[in-house]
Formats: sequence, C-alpha cells, structure tokens
Amino acid sequence: MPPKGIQNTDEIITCCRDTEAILGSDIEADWKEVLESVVEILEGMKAKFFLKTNPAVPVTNAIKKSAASLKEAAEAGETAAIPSSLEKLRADMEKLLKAAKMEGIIIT
Amino acid sequence: MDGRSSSLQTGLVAKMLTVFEAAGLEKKIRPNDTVAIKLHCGEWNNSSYLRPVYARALADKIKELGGRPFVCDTTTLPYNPVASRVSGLDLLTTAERNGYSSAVLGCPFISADGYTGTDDVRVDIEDGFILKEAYIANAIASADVLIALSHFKGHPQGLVGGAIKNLGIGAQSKRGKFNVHMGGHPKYGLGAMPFHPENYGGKKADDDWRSLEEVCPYSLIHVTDDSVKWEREKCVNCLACVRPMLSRGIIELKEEWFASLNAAIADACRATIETVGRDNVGFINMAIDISPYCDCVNYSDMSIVPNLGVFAGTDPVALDKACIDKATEVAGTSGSAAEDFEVEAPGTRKFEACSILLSGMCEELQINTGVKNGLGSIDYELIEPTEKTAADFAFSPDSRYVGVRYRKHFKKIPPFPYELHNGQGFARKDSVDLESINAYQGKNGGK
Repeated sequence: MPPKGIQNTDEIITCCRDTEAILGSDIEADWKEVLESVVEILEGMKAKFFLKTNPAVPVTNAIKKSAASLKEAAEAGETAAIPSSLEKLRADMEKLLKAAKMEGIIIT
Repeated sequence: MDGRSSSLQTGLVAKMLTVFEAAGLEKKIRPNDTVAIKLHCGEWNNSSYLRPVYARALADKIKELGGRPFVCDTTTLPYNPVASRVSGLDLLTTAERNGYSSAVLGCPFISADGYTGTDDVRVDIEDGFILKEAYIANAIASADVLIALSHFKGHPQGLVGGAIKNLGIGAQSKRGKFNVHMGGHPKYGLGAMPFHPENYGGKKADDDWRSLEEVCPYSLIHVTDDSVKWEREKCVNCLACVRPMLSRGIIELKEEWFASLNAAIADACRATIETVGRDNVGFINMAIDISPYCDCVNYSDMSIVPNLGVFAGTDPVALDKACIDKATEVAGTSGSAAEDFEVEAPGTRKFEACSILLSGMCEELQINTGVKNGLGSIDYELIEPTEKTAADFAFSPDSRYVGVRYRKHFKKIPPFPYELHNGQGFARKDSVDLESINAYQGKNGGK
C-alpha cells in the first residue's frame, strides 16, 4: 500500500479534476487556474520524498478535506461557496509547500 | 508506578527512588564503586528532557549507599546543521545550559567518550544481529556499576527512545555512533540510499545552495551550476545533510535505513551491558513528558500520551516493552501529534505514527532485535512496589519539622512584624466583597 501522504495526494488530484469536470463551462478562469495549479504542484511533488513521510500526512489530510468540500459545493451547484472553498484549498496548499521545506526538522 | 502524584511519597522523584530500591538496583552498589548514571542531557532548546533533579536525587542515594556517582552523556554525530553536542566542549556547554552541572548534581557531569568522541573501548559482539563490534564510551565501560536513567519517549529514526536506545546509542562513543548508524555500510548507509541529483537545480535554482555544501563536515557535497555531486561512497552517515537533502528531493530514505539502525542499537546495548557486566547494570525508565521526538532534537512537541509512570528493572527489553504497551493501551493526548495522525484511540500504536519520518515501520524493532540477540525478554510482570512514607522523602538536609527548625531563627530575626498595627502586623482593610471576584467574566469582560 502506498504511504498515506501519496494516497491523499492521489485523492486530492482526482477530487480537483472531478470538480473541474463538474463545473464544466460554468468554471471561472481563476477557479480553473487554482485547480490546475494544485494538480500540477502535487504531480511534481510526488516524485520527491516528502509525500512519503509521516509529516506529510496531517497537511495532506487538510488539503483533502478542503478539496472534498469544494467538490461538494460544485456538485450541489453552490457556486457562491466556491471562492471561499478555493481560498481554503489554496491556503492549505501553502501550508504543504512550507512543510515540504522541512525547515528546522531534525532527523537523528 | 504510575505517572500521577498527590503527596510527598507519590512524587515522581520519590517514585524513581522507590522503584530503584524495589527493583534491587541499590543492591548492585558496593562501597567505593564508581557508578555511571547515563542519561540524555537534552539538545540545545529541547525542553522535555529529564529535569536534573532526578539525577541529583539518584546521585545522592548512590552516595548514601557508599558509591561514587558521576552523571554522563556522550558526544554525538553532527545529526543536524546546528547540532549542539558534537564535541566534549559543546556537550558540556549544552548540558550546563540544561541544568546538568556538578553544582546541580552534587557529583561530576562528564563527557563519557572524551572531547572528540574517540575515548572508547572496542569490544567484539558475538552473535550480534547486525553488528560484529561496538565502541563503548570509556567512562561507561570503566564504571563498576551503570544505571541507565532513561527518558522514555518517541524518536525520529529509532521510533522509540527508552532504555535500549539510552545505551545502544547513548553509551557508544562518537566512533561507536558512526558504527551503529551504519556509516559507510554499502547497503544500509545513507550513501546507499536512492540519490536524485536530477531533482535539484543547483546554484542557478537555489539561492541557499551554499548551506547544502556547508553542512557536510567531510566536504563530500559539491553543488554545481545545475545540480549536485555527492561523494556518497565516502559518506559516514553523520546525518547533518539529511534534512537539507531530503527537502530538496535529492535523497530518499528507505525502510532498511531505519530498521538497520534499530537493530544495531539493540546489538550495541547488549555490548555495553556485557562490557560493564550484566550484574552491574540497572535501568530506570521515566515515561513522562512523552514527546513524539527524542531529546536530541532542538524542540519538544507536546506529549502524545499522558505520563505513563516510572519503571525499573534489569532487562531493558522488558522495560521498553512495558512502556510501549502502556502507551498503546492509553488514549492519545488531544491536540497532540496523536490527534494529527489519528492514533488517539486507546489500543492504537502511537510512536510508529507520530515519531517516525517514514510510514510503515514497526515501533518494536529494537525490542525484536533484543530478543533475537539475547539482550532480554518481552515477557514481563509489572510489580507495584510498596509505597514508602512521606518521611522518607522529606527535605534531606534537615528532616525535622519546620517548627523545630525555625523557632530559634524566627525569634532572632522575626519575619512577622507583630509589633505593628495592634499585633496584626500589616495595614489592610477590615472587610471587602470577595464574592465579587469569585465569578467568571467571560471573554473580554463579556462585552
């Protein structure tokens, strides 16, 4: 079984792609940009080690939750909720990028 | 004994001394024996290491028994870019900052493997699981008796740090630590881990590239314009580069890197015990302030489980197993890493989720090796010692009641001014509305 961080990442990517598909022609350009950027960053990170570690688990858990609520809003047609959900997703992605630098983490 | 305290005789210092006696460890100490108290003095800015009062109380007890105690730790590998215990000078500087000095301990605190970390005794290991030799810190190898006073907690690479690790790493000299960490090993060393220079853009892409070169004490890392070269066949596994290399995606760590170290820890622990003599070694595990990481990191996360208690015995495998079982048994601490990693529920294994970098490892690696190599047994029985009396733990410089001790003193220098304010001593109001302050106001005064 792949590490939990990688499993989460795959689920986030799927979720973002699903959301894009659900929104279809209703998608706004900046929404599309955020969703595609999340997918691109995560695909790139999968080649590196961090997502295989335990410290990746809580941060990817948070992104997975944000991506799921975004998808739910899209499925329910609640487009008014999408900007705030996207903002939460973007903020959680920033936390992941910060965590991946592993600044000050010690591995003895 | 459990980790709760509600009286003089159930304080954690009292419990440590109670289990020391109940486990028969005091019988190991004969008059004039040199007694090494091996503990982890904590890294710079770590705050969950054992408070020095435990070592002080133990040293006092050993002196009472006629022994000559000294408290010790050993120099470390660089471990991280800003490590604080690599030389004897750094170790003593950090130890003092953390409260470990002769003034506090009432006995010397020493670097057991000297200044550089090469003051050691080489021993062969018969039938080790992975190691064939070990390098034991000289002061520990030379002691008549060794008491491993261990802080039981998690560990980034070892998963768990308890009695086995306190000796399997902590009693090894720096040279011994290179050995245990698999430095130079063709299969399990850091140099043998997957190397991905293609993930790194070199000087052109990394403003902080110099730090990557500067972490290696052997100058084996060379950043080029568009990538990195690493003389990994010469890597000694000092670990200083691990985080900088991992975060840049340059190296990967495999399960065997973690597993081989843990196996070696158990072998080196056995070598230490055999060098001092099995009958001359005792263990105390203080399972308190159970951070997911070791005292060797420069920070301390909140405890992932509540204080589990104080344990003592002569078998480090049984002792660590008992502590791990207790940690599994209890609920994880709300708001801690146990919650982040969803292992709060009683019955879940905490350390392999919270403390380790790589998922999929077993937190009983050291214990399993310890069974295979003859270090000890996982069969244990927890025996609750008889609680001692409050009088046993009274202020030892003068254990008489304070009335007796201070009557003469207070008469000579009266601290209470009876002569003022009609014998009341101080100027105060006769009565106030105390009810008005014995009430909650809510956040921001309820506004």
